[in-house]
Amino acid sequence: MQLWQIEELLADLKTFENPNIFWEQYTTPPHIAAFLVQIAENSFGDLKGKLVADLGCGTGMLCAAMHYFGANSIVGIDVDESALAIAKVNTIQCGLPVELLQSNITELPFNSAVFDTVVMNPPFGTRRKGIDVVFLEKAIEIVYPGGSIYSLHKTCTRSYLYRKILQRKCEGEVLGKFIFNLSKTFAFHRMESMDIEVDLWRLKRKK
Amino acid sequence: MRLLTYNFLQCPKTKTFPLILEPTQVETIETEYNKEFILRMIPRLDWNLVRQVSRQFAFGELPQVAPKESTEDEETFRLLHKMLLETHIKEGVLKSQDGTIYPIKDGIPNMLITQVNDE
Repeated sequence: MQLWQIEELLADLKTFENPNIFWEQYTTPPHIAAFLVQIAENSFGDLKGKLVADLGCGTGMLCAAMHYFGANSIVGIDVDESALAIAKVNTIQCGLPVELLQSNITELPFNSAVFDTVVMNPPFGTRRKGIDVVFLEKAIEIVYPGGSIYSLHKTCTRSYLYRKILQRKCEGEVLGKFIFNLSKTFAFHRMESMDIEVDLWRLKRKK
Repeated sequence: MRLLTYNFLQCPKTKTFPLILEPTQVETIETEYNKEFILRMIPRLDWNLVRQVSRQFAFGELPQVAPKESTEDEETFRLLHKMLLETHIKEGVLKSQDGTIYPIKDGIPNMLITQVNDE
């Protein structure tokens, strides 16, 4: 399948009905989701035949994108029941090999580092300061030595994240930068739409 | 929830492992056999728990020692595939030793331990 065909399939997914401000619920734009997973699979072979987790999966946009790029063992984790209900509808309608699990990301129920790859679009931390870093820390905890993490973060946090990552058992690099267009999702957004710069990070946990 | 995932779950509150699984509805969904995937998962699994799950779900007795790449035991690898990757828990509960119950509804285990404040 071509990238644009996958983007079209992703654009048809059901998304949030009443996005939650506190959890910064917004759907990853299909073209960014498709680009992210394309790199993960085609450049690094991190999806096909791998056990993959999506932290804060929301309605399952990244889960679906990963499926279209060959992942067939995906665990989508989210705190919000209503988001998971929509994700469930998407997995059934699209025949996605996705397992869903309801958990707070700060209190994950895994007994050790079990995933080959973690792919996520965490909250940017505009409502809860530092939650973006907490997601990264949790991802590092559950990824098996040698495994990879793909995550999206505001570009303005880049140097801070580099310093954070250097303190941990992983290597990190920014693979690319996007302009994220957040349309007026929440009442507190004053503008009709807002462009923010976002980095796509790849972290590799050292063996 | 697949049985593979169950094998990785601990109580998020007390960190005790394993949780007790009491299914009320189980479903089998076939998926492509991938021996390499199974081999990669084995070191991440608690083999005693895998053997116990195999008995609980009537898959029979597994060898005492976990198979390795060099193990010529196709039957065991096929059984692990069927059990861990094709057996899904649709409804049931997960129980922790301290009595906490985590319900599984429509295939989704609810592992929340604190009330989430979304205001």
